[in-house]
Amino acid sequence: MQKKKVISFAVLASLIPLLILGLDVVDAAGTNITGQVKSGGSGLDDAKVTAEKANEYQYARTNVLGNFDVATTTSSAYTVDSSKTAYARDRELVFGGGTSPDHVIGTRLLTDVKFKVAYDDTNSITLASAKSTLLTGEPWFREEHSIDFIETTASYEWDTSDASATCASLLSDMVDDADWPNTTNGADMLFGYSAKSGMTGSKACGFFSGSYASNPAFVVTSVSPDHARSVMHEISHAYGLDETDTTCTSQVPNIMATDPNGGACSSQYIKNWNPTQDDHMNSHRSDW
Amino acid sequence: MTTNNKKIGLFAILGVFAVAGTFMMSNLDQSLSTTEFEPILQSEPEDASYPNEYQFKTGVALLTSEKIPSNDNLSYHRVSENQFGWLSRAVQNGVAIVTEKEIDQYFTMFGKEHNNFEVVTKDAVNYYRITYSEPPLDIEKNYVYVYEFDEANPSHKALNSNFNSALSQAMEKPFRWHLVDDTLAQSLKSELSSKGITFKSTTTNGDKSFNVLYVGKNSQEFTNPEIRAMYNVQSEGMQ
Repeated sequence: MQKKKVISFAVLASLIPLLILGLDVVDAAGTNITGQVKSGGSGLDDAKVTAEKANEYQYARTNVLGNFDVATTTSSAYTVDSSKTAYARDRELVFGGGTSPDHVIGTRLLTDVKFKVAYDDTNSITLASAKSTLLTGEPWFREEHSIDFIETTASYEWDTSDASATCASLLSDMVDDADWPNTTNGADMLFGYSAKSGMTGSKACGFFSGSYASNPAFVVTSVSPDHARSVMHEISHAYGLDETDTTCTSQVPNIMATDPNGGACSSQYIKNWNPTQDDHMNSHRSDW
Repeated sequence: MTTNNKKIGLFAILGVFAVAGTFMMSNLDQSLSTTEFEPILQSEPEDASYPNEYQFKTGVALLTSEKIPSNDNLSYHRVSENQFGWLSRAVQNGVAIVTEKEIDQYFTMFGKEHNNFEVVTKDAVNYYRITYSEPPLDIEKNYVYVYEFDEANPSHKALNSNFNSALSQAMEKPFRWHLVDDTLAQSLKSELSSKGITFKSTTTNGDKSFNVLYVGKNSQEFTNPEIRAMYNVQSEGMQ
């Protein structure tokens, strides 16, 4: 695979902290996205940049080597749910949000998600390590969808010595060991973190359908390139999102980005839900 | 045995077969039904990009260290603590803000294989898991993170009581970055520099041991021109 083109993404990088802190946000419209493309190209390797704020979601592409400066007003534009204007860090302030969390995972109507945490004690993963990994993904769920991650006390030491070094094997081993979903201990989802050596194939995977529809289970391994992105991707599956099935060149950068012909749309696979995915997530919230 | 008894016996046998057959069919249906609803394995793309392969960031690029015991199940990258700037900063401070070059070095040389390190110093060999993350923070502000260990260790230094109240939110919700004001950040940074990052404290939920991590404008990396350029920092450094 040709080396991925690389984009600087100043607008989103600066907007997210500002949104989290509840400060004023500079309009994306009329401003420019600046950055640098490390190498040129076309098609799959076009660099993409995105900007998101209340009422706006825009992206632009460039295949010009070196620094770029893209006016967002001239790029493809999407409408973001106007409720985003009410976004704030605390769920009480979110549009339509309430102080009483809804825990009905069966219909994905959550504001809080309770996790049972499995930690790969065989490979020196502690409960603390597993929790810290899971919570790397929380800021995006809090900021975008007012979903908090809650850990239950029903964590357990996970013996991975019977599993082979694939995500599928680890996942099956974990749900068997935990007797999940028969024994949930009040948790909505089962999360496992493993440091199994010699991993091949995917570095994160999960069960979200069949007998796991109401109580999904997923595994992230320590060799995941970006733990927060893996957590965010897998939990998005739990909310009913699937990998995108359009070609990489026509995808807006998003957390479910993938190449339908296999492989990844690398420059598109980022920690962000696109507007369609935002709407989908929102529709699975009871109080939205 | 009379003819009637034989008939009754035959019916009884047929009845047993009928009941068993119905039961088996029922189970077969359940089996088919289960098969029909077998969960589909959903996996992250196998060739998902690495953070050194894209330049945009969704937050501040960090490498955090977690001390682990030696374990024969694990492979380790054997390195000396001073071999890489990001390594020594991550080990000493628990967290390092890293440049694009350091991100590239970490993933090119180590991170794609595994993230276990055998770190050799003049006096000791220690083992760490060093992990990359990009939490959505504003590098020009101040944040603390409490990494709470599974078990309290009485031999750890007690946290200065002056910080108990100030860090109560971070201790109540560990493993998350919490915004703190500059006054607290500066005094905390001084405390961490002089006493290390590992402490114990008695809380309403019992004794706890934890690492305290700091990231923000009082971080030593904040004055690094490469870091400042990555985040378009305009203000003066706060060292």
